[in-house]
Amino acid sequence: MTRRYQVFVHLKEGLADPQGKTIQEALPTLGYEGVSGVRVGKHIELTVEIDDPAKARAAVEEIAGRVLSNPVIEVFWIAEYAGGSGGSSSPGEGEALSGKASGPPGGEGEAE
Amino acid sequence: MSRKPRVGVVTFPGSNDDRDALRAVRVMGGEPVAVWHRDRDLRDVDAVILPGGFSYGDYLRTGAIAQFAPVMDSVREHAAGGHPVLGICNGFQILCEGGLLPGALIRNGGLAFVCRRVQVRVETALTPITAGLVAGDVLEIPIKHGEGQFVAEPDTLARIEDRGLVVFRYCSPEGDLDEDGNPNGSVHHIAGVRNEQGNVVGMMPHPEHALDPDIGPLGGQPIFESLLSSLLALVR
Repeated sequence: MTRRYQVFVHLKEGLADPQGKTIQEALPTLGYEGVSGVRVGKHIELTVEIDDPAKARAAVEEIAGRVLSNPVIEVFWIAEYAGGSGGSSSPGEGEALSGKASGPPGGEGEAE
Repeated sequence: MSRKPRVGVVTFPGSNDDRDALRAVRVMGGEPVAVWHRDRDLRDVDAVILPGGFSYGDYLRTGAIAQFAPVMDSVREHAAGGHPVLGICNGFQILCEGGLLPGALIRNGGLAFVCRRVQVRVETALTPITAGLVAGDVLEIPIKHGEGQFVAEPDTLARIEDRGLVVFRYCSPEGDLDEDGNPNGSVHHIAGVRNEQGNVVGMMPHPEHALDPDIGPLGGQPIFESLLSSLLALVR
């Protein structure tokens, strides 16, 4: 079965995010007031051919923690497309994981 | 009579300072050994340099893909054996990504790519590349990077400072830590760090570009002199 996952990666809270800061500082000059935070991250889509949903999820978590993010500076979120294809879910519906893929899923996320 | 110290320089796809590093080793009296990223045999080198450049296009994160190159298993063994490993610029990023050094390197504070000469202050002589220097010495060396802002979480940063793992800090020509002397916003002005054992060092400035008297600056000379002298003491 084909499963599609979204992996969101961004810098940990508290770490300087030069890109986010630059965008945030540009917004008032364009007339957008009231934006108090901008964080820039990455969105990566993985298409996985693994039938067992738990194994598929575990593989994605390991890849996200070991390759797609650097646990020293980044956190990641994972969201699966509903039904394995089509549809989408927001990062807020995904699970917040703090770095190490070997850590317990659903551990304290650094972000939000 | 001792042999010349053999210093390996790893070429990854996208490395572009490998030839300068090989030349620096030769000019300063060592025997340069070119190592390919797919090699697992380091050919009896006494030290390894991971050079600057844009390995694997800097895709994903700087150094993120290079840390999984076949040669890195051998580099890890080399480091675990207590032998010197020096990462310069992209090499520093690779060592941080691979967990051989603490912290990480992110986009420069001002977002701009910075290419200029800087001064760095030597913070410790307890590494192979600073063994001939004294803490407080100021070296002039060029930098050229877009992602050289050193960062670490508070706990890690405290450990780096407590354990004396900072090797270089960006500074003024007089050795003061003023903001003008910090080209990329690195926390605590950190330009280079070492591991606990001291044999693995990473630095953003390029000593291999700073040892030709006809061009200058010459801040790279004492670094390569220290490295080669340290190796001579080991291989004798």
